[in-house]
Amino acid sequence: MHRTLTIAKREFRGYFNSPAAYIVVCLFLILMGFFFWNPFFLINRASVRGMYDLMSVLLLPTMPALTMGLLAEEKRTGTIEILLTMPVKDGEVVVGKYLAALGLLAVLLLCTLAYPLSVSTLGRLDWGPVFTGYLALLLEGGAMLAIGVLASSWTDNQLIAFFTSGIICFAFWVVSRFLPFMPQAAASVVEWLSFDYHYQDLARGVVDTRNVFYFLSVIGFSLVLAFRSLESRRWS
Amino acid sequence: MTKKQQARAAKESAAFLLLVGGILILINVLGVFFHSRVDTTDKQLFSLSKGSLHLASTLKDQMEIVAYFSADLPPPHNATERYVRDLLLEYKDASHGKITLRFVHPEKDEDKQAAERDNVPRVQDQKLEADSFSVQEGYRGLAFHYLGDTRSVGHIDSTDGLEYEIAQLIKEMSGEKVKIAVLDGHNEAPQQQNPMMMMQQPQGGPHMNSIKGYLPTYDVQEIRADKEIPADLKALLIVQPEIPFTEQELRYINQYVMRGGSLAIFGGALKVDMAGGAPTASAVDVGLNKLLDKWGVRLEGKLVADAQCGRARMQTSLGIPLPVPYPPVPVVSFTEYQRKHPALFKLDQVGLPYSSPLTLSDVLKSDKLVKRTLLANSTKQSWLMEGPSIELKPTDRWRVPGYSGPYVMAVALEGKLPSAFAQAPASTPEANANAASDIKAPERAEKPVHVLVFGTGYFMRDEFLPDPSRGQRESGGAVALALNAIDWLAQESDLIEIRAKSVEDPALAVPMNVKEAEATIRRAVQEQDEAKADKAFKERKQAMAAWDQKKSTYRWANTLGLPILFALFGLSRWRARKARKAGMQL
Repeated sequence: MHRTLTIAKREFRGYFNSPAAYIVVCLFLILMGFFFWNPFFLINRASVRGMYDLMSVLLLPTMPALTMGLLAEEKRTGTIEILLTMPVKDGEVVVGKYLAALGLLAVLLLCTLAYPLSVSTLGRLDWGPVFTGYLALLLEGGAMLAIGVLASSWTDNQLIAFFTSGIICFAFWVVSRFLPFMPQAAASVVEWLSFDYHYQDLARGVVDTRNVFYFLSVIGFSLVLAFRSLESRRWS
Repeated sequence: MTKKQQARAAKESAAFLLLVGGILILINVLGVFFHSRVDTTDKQLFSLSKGSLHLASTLKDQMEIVAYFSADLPPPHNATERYVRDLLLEYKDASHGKITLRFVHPEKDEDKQAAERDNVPRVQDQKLEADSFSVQEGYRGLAFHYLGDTRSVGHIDSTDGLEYEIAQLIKEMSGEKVKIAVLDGHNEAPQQQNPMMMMQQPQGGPHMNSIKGYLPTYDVQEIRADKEIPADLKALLIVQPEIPFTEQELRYINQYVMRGGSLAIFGGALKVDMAGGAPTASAVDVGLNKLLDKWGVRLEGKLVADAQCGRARMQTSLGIPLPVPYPPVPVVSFTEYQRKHPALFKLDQVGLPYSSPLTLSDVLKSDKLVKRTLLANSTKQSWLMEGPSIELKPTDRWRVPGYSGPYVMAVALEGKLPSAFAQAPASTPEANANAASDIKAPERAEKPVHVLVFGTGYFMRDEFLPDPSRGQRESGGAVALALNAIDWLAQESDLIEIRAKSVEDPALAVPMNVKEAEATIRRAVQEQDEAKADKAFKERKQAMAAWDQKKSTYRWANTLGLPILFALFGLSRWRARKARKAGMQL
């Protein structure tokens, strides 16, 4: 665990030592601010639910951007071999890098906390859904990050990693929109697989263990796959 | 690594992944059966009431709910769609697969036609575009398909009470009806013309055919009280009785309430003869006060007249009917406190024709098991009409002896009421007295009961109600009051909670100085003080400008301020690192 945290700290600091984190966070905040605050006073409701819907969309390109280089870049430059010859396990490397990306996501979400704080001074804001909304974003974003780490473990090209994880995340996100065109039996399964189905429940203020288990399962399975993918270089 | 070792490692890896995948799938499948759920919203908005859950979970066949919502509805209807979606998902989850949902954005002609077929009409909404309003057409309704039957909520204007409306519809379609009864055998007068309007043709019985039409989810029976009243009746309604009750009947009614039945008494101290468009009223004593006295309420044989009243047609000498104020039909306005009672939910005011005043006593004041709520009273500008024959013919000249109001016109009692005949012997030496005293009842209601007492029941009778086939939405306050009252008496308390649920997010708080300026404007207009109004208008304009400035500050501080702050943090960090690097020596 100590080694995992050391890797996480190093990676997390790395984000802020390059302009990447600042560009991603600033762009994210500008887009969020524009799309959330423009219609806000027209709707005239003391609610930040619209913010979660927007964030869910904006996470789609943001999360792959944060993870695309985590393993792919190390592979391309060959530093992965140096890293893996150190006294750390493959799993610790994967989890450490994942935690660093999760930390950056937390910083991103922390920045948007100014929105509900602002809204609460303009009207009576129900804080329950605000907290569960952030939990939803952390879980959905966490799942996207795990998929990003997985995609990054498959290739040594950052762009390929970005598009691969972007497409997978988009598929998980968009699939619920096609449910009316599917047969009933398939629709139930596909609906359960979609991010949006589980995310919306949390975003409106309902914490259901099924939704939490779902996101944790996606995270867990993606990270295990990434670990096996990294490990496969020894026998493939 | 040899090829054999590589193959073995690959197999082990695949088996490990399968194992992990299997465990995760198992956890998720188990989670479907063993899960917990917490609704963190203040008002438990996304938790269906027990009544709705029960309805959804006991559906016997597949129900399809189609939500027709146009994609670009203007505010606030765009937020309504989200609430409807959430609410329907709750129904779906509770139905164990019996409810399927379909969300349609009617853009194609075939979808629009389907919406029209499902009785979801196209509605017009105002939309704000730049500085002007435009009219936009769209759909925002629900259709329910169940066993070949289709019902709809044609257009959803507000989310208030929507869960109740849906619950009622599902209940109506799935055939689970609540049994209530109207007491028969105490109405002798044939139905006659209502001087205010002619709604229905004369019919026999207790004259409640219209109200029955408004109660599709109820099994409304007509019963007599000369024998034990079935305990499975959720409520017993006594509407404008005119023939006295025997002691035996009163004891059976008391017994029914003590066993947990709800009772509503609508009138019973006045009899109005509406023959020939010149109605007269006279006091009657049907004996209900023997019950009510014990519960601290008494129906008086007088009539409440109010300056705040409805209108009736007065025949002029030319034969042309002229609408004139009609004080025997007081229009009762409800206070904010009274409107919180489920029986008055969403009601601003209602006309209560030919009402007796209620006198309240303190017999149950110290009884902590009983709660009494004053539901309706006349205005201060009201008075009482009394006498052996009270003239009620519409006229433009009413004799007002002086205002003596307000008078109580409706009361609700809830709790474990004491028996009206707990230990009292039969009050008359009639032949049935012995038999009556044999009718046993607990000394207190076995469970909390609901009792409503209104000074009148005429607002529930056919003469005063529109034809139910014209729809509830056209029916106005009288029907709403009657239905609310019956719901409160007969429904499960959790269904009542649904009606009181307000689900919209609270609006942004308008600054106090804007509100104060608006109040000053209203006062100035009432006082016809032009200078004061002008000053208040200017103050409001300034306050609104300040409010707009505040909005703009919030918008830009959040949109640009936050990213700029974050960028500045990055810049300072970069400069600090650069300085640190410059100071480093090898």
